[in-house]
Amino acid sequence: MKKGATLMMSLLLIIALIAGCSSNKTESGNGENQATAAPDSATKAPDPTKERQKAVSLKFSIWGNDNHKQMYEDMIVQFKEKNPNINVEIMVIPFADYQQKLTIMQASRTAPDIAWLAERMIPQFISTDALLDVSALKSDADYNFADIFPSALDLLIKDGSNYGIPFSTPPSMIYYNKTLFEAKGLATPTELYKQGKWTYDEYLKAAKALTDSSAGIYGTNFVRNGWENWPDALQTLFNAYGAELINKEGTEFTLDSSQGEQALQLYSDMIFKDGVHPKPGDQTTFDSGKIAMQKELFSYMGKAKAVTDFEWDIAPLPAGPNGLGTTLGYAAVTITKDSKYPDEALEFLKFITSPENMAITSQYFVPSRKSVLESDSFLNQGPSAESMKLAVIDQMAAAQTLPSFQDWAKIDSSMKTVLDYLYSKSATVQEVLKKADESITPLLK
Amino acid sequence: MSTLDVKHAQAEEIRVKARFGKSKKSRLHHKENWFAWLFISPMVLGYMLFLFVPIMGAFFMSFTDYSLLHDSSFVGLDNYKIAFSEDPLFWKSVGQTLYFSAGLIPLNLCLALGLALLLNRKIPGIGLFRTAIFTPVVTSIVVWAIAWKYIFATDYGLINELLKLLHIEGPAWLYNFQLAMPVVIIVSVLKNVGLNMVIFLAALQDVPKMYYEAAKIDGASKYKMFTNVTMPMISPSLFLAMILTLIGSLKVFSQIQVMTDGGPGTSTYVLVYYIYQQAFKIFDFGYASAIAFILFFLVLVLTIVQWNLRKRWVHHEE
Repeated sequence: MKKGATLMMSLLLIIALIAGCSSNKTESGNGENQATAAPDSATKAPDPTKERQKAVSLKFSIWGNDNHKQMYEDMIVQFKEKNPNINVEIMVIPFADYQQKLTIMQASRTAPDIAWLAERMIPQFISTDALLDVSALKSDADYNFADIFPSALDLLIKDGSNYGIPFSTPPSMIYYNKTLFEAKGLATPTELYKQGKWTYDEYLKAAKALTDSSAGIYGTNFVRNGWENWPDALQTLFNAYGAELINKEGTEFTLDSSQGEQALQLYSDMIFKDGVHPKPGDQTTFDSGKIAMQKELFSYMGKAKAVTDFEWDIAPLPAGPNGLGTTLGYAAVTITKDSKYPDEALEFLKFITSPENMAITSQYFVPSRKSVLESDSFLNQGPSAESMKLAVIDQMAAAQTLPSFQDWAKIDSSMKTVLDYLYSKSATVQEVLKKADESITPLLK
Repeated sequence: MSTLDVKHAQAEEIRVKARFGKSKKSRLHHKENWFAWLFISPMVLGYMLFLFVPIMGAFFMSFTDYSLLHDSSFVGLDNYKIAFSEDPLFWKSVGQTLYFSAGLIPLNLCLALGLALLLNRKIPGIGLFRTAIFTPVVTSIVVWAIAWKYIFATDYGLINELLKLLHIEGPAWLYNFQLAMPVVIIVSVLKNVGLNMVIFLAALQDVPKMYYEAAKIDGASKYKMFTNVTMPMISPSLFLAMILTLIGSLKVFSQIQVMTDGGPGTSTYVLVYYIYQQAFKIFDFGYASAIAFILFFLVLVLTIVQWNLRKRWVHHEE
């Protein structure tokens, strides 16, 4: 009796174990289950001529916010109407971890089928042969490939192959709190820009006048997407002062110049000497109303539009000795080479970057299609058509993408480490640049 | 100790024989063995599959330049050579790991012992205090570290807000080269002090009361009683706690990753963080595996040394 019970128990345990292990299998084999169900839905589908197709589940990774996700989800609903057998699941990965996570997922063969990639990530993924060539889109007349700015495609082309479609090329700009400017009776950045006086001197003056430490209000903030994201915080300054991080050939660290020093000194002074910029680690955001002038990209528009407590507007960046130095954010949709369903993935990529859908994404992303960029509907996506012209359209020609190199992960990591000396006031700007040279130069050989 | 154990085992065997007779015992033994293996098989299989195999994989990987970004090739002992002779950051990480241990262990043990002595009395509501101090041990380390990251935040952090009330401008705790590591040490102590406290509390309650009575009759002071009765009696527990804390402290990672991410600069790089950084940030898995094995041997050697030293200062061992 007792023996029997023990035997039963162990038998049960084994069954449970086996069932537990195999449940994973049934889940990953989901596609097949759906495939058997597909004939049903196919007969119900509006297009009866369509063949029975295998149900396919695609994964699409983005680093965007909830607004972006919602927009894509709406698009997926439409996509499913045309392609009832293709299911697309959105995966949100924070920007700071994005490249790291994607690389590791790729190594473990669990990478999403379709992925956003930023400029700094693209060289690595192309050089490791991780992306699918999407040149086939060129032959599709409806898609109108020629409409995409050729310059925006540069980063994605290697040896004649095209590894993705850019969908967002937002210039950096200043979002300013109009209410705060009015309260102090100051000329707004837009006004100064129109008078041709919008320089870093004026900018600093305004920042000082707007800072109110007792109310926790800072005149300005350069940091976006976290303090670790130094390229977005600093590259416009480097450009405006004529400093180059690494030479074009990617062989030499060149920021330790007098221009680089000037640029970094200005940033350091804003934080520590003038106190007009939040201190390292501070997470104050523009939408809290406590930042008078925030450097951001056009893609911040969605969040800014949710602001109800104060009035705001956008303006171009102030000018330095070497011009405005506007940088261009950059994001492309790519297909990973390991995707099990390359055809379906390409179909989805085509769908979300089509002229019609890029008009929809243009509410958050500056479109890479000429027809959409020049449309009236795009001008209406901002606070006003005039601001959109000044801060977006007029800046596109001179704007440059952020530097990107194959070994970016290492350069990024070194630079982050070195900048901590600045953030913790443990070294002068000159010393920081020297340290950066010492740690980055060996990586470039 | 060993003779006592042998006697014990012999006595047990005689008792078993007396009850079942020889043949029956061996059959039962056989069957029990079989069941035992069956019952531990999930654990053993899990260990083999998810720990032993990957550990061996990492061992072989440490002799290659395996990276996610390019094909790998065999490089012999190069990774170890680089670590020992060419990579200052490796040595810095070793130094900082030892700094962490040196800061954590005395602080943790002293605080745990102090709390145990304080809480080792029978007064109403004492369970509440014991629970309060033990609670962090069962909290997730990541949650704990995130909460403390906010507490030590430069602006609007609890500590700096309190300092503001005293008209002191608080430092940027986690962005300061000198302060970041001490902050991590304090946060780690507060997280785990409860575990050692419970070990000490149990040990204290096991000390027979008669020794204290005898000491009292001899006219020993409270201090003398502590050094001559309490300490020798709880020394095995002290030893155990010290080994556990030392090994735990060499493996510190989560709180550093969450609170400082190795920064500012490289001032909170410890060995495990450095392994993570090499493997998962710059994808150099070969080199990271080599450092992981160096850490393994470091832990092994320290454990052996400590185990052998115990005879010198553990006066009482059950």
